Amino acid sequence: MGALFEKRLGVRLRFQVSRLLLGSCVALATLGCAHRLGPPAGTEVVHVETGKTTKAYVLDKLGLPTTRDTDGQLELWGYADGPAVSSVQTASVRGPNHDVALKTRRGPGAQSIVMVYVFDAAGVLVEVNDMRGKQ
Amino acid sequence: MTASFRVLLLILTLALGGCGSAQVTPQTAASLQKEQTVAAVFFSKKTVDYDEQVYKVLYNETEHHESSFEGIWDVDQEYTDRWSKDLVDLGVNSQSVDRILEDKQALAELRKALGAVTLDAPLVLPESVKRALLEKNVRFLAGVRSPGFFVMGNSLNAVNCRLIFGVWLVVYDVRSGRQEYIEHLSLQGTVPVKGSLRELESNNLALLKEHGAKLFQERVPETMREALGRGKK
Repeated sequence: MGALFEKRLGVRLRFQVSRLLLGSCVALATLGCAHRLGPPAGTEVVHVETGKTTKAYVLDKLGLPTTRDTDGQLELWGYADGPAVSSVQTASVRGPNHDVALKTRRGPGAQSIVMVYVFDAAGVLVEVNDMRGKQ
Repeated sequence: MTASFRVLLLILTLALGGCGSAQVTPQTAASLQKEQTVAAVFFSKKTVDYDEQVYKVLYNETEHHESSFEGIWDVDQEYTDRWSKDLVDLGVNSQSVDRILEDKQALAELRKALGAVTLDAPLVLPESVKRALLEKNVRFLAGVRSPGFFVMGNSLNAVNCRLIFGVWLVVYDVRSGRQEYIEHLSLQGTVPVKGSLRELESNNLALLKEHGAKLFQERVPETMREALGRGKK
């Protein structure tokens, strides 16, 4: 009776530990997938209007631009749709001693600009260029 | 003396030399108090470079993002004003470079020259800039140069990130055209964030400005104090 109880308890404990481990893995994986380098709000959800929207508004909604250029009196702010992958690191087990080797591969690194907001000297939006269809 | 012993001696000399705190000469330290000094801080890149290691279960990925604050935040002016005040507190007869140098061309050239300073390249000011400074009775330039801000994060640590910016601190004698002092400092500290690393940009770069200023204030004036031979506060 006692042995059976201990066996059952052991199975139950193992099941709970496995569940805990699985839960931790899922939690870590979900956390790992979170992007923390994108703009505060997506360029597609920010409503802008030429002749009305100001630099301060765009700055507040989208954060700092990825690129900034000038053309005479005009100022051009370019926004990327997200971060670029600069490197990928993988681990592999090799040899009879099961040594873990880390391999780093360089990623493309460069961000692609998807939206360009053009402001006049007064800091008011005069033009929006959506580059997504042009790339 | 064997060759290996000489090599060991050389290594020891270099290592101990690296440990010692660099100082300006007592004459220069005295002149800095009496003669006109201009303070200038120059960031060669007006950007925040983010790198975040993202855990992807089977592999790790480093994601990179660059944000530009060029034309949005006059970082050079803000840090130059602060640096000039720090120097005054240290007893240096200092003024912000833009208050003294009205010639915009000379100011731009000075900043460009300061931007080229690295550990192995001493500051060289163009003759036109030296002339413009000497005309205003400026004897020294106390410059600080930084390549820009760098932010590092890790997706498994969502509550903070690391703000890093290196600075080169330079004292240049305009009259002799000689760099009297150079020191490199790596300023770094932890910044709390709630989720995105780009929270540093929120509210007109509030977190970046606050923590950048704090890191600068903690190390740069203290290093200058030591350079002037005053020891630690």
